Amino acid sequence: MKSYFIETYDLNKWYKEVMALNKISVKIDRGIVGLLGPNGAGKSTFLNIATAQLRQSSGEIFVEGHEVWNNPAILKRIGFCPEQEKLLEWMTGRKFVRELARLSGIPREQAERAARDAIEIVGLTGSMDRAIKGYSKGMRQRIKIAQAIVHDPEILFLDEPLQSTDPIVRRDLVKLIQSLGRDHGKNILISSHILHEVERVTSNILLIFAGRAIAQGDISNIRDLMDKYPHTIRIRTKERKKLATILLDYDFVQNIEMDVLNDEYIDIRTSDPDKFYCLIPEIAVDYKLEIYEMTSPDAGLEAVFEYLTRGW
Amino acid sequence: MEEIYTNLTQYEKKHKRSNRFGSLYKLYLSKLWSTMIRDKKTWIFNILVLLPIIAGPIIALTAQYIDAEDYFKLYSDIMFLGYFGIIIPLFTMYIASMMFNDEIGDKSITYLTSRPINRFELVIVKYFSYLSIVPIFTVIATGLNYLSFSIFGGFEYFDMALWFLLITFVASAVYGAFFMFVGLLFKNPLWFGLFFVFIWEFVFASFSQTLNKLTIAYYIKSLIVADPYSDPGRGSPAIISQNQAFQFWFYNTPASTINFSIVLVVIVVVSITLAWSLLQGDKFKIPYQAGRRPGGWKYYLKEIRSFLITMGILFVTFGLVVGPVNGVRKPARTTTFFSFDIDDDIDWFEGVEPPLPSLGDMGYGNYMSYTVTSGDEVNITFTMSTYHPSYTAAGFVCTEEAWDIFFEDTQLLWYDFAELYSVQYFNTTLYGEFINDYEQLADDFLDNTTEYSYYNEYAPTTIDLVATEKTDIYIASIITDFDIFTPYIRGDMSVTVDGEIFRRSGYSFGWILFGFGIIISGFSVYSLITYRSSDEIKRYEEQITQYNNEGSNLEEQKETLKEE
Repeated sequence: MKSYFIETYDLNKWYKEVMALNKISVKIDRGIVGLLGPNGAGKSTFLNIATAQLRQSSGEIFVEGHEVWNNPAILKRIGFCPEQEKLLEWMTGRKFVRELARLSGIPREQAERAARDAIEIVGLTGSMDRAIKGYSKGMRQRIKIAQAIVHDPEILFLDEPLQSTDPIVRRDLVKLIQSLGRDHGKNILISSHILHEVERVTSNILLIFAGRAIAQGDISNIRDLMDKYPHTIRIRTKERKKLATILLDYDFVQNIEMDVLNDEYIDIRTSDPDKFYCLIPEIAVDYKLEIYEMTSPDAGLEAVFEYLTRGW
Repeated sequence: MEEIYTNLTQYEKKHKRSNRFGSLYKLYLSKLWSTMIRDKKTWIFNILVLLPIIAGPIIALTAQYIDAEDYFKLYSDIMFLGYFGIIIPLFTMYIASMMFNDEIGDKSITYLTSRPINRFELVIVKYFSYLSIVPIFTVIATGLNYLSFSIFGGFEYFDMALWFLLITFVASAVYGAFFMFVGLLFKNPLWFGLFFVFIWEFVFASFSQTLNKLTIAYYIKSLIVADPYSDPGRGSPAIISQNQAFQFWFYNTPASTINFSIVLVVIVVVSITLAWSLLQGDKFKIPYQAGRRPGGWKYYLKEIRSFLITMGILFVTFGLVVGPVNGVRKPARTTTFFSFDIDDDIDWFEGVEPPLPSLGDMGYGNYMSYTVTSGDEVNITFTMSTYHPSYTAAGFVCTEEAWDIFFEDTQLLWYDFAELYSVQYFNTTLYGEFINDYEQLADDFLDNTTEYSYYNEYAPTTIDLVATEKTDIYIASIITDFDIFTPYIRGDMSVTVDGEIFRRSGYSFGWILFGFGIIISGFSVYSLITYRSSDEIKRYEEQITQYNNEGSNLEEQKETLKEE
């Protein structure tokens, strides 16, 4: 019988009266899977249940065909990078990873080398002998990943692993996660609330919103939905009136609003974000406009989820 | 990066319990050490433990002259009341209650619980690491306390110091286990800890002996005043010169050695077990209704098996403690009830209107009233000693009503006799009639008593009975046969009544708990024997098949989304 990476059957979790997970029934195939959802959607709860940190209120969850609760045998095969920043603060980074490696079964004589290797992978070798309590957010994130991979687990659960990392480390970590999945055959569940972050790692995603699994499968479907959904894009430029005049000629620009509090910002609502994103660089060059910043406040998952879950 | 990762795949993994224990122990040891040395808040409590060290020099400097016995009496009082009563509980409360509490608070425990470690291992290793540091620290502090006193006091009472070292270790270990459990029970355990140390252990315990016995301090104090030497015993080394330890021993009823040994061990075991169950989080919740799952009630049983094992052990342990250990012989009274003198005459019959004779006037000395409940065992011994002459007496247990009737009848008889005898002194006929009437009255009365037994100066007697209902009983003794050769009622006679009442109220309850624990344990064993992992796999396959047949609602959800 085929067993999946993760299977859940009517998985529920209540925190007193708050329902964190609501009848989640999914079968997730092996490979790298993105767990997407806005903040508070239930991603961390799902991961905590999958790693036996919490027990479900009802329903079932199997990881590689095994129940996880009170089952140390499956935990031998799991590496978990939790979301919280607090670590074992009194230790140095190297000792932290080494001791956790030992707890995962690596003998004393090899644990030191394994810890050094894992730390080198996350690019923290230079700071590994510093006390963790002096680590920055990014360093903490990296040491968390190091402890998750130090025992070469078959299964990796990464809760917001790229959070607070700088672009270079982020790029390296993305490469590492891709390599672990593709070259080393690991099964990885990576949670994030940022779509493009997950997109760089995998195309296979599970969408969670308000404790429900609302979609599962290829990311392109979600991307299509997202692209069709009208976007508000915020641009920072000193010549916002000029930009507004130019943009009014395009039919996919639905609305333009000048920020009353900050005279450098302009909010543009477009029905076709893809075309708009292509257009802006052209306009900047043709009209010699200096554009300092371009963000999409509602391009995040929350807006898409609101759209997807309308009427639920 | 990928190349380095290949290195990680080369390391072997030995998932041995000894490996885990060793590394976890080392990790927890380093954490506790770091907390005690580097944490500023902990230093407040460290200083508290070390505070009595300066007490010796201060006392030596401020007191003009104090002899060695008084000086070490002061030392023992500081240790008994201050050190073991407040400082050790406070210090261990802070350290032990925060051991798990801060890890759970900042969620750093996740790094350990996501490793292949049983949560019971976390608890037991945590406790061992605590035992490796905290009691050692307190023992060293206790030793320093003694040294600081002894520098000015002449290094006497060394056996008392050694005894305190042992008690420090035991107290730290017991309070540590208890407060580790408390740390898991409350989000902010310090408030409860302060309440427990100051209010429960001190204030509530002073309200009654029963409440006192519900404190840990009572059993620690019982250990302090226990005699560590073999029979015939020299008494506890902590007891000197009517110090606080002596007063506790004398005015309270310290727990026996067997009792405090069992209770202290039980506190440690139960605290660790409960700490484990709390760390398991919602493990003991039953997520499914019985009978709804494949595998039926056997699966249900398997789901709660750990819970059953834990509760089985708890019930059996509590049952044994409350039942056979404490329930059978739990003395409610252990002291001498009373003694009285038969030294009567008719001196009370004076004045124009003499009063009715009192109990003492009639030579009965006193009587004692007790309330007994069903199941109480009453064991009384009546002993008589006389100078001259010898009488025969009866010790008895009777009801209040029976005693009142006898007492009033005897008063009247005594009065009438005294009235006549005062004018016809040495009238042997009158005396003989009175004796006959009285003995008849006594015989009638004894027939109405619950239990009675005759005795004299050569043959003491005992009365053993078990109360069948809650009632007030009177225990007393009366003379049934006077010396007929002595024509007056007078004698130097002393009666001592020693007795105990053993309350057995917890006995039945203990056995019920014990029996319940055995039944629960039986279910656990049955589940361990009958539910195998193959059943688990079968159940899993059935679940998958059932789900595949029913189909997933997720597919429908995806379709809905696509349509949108």
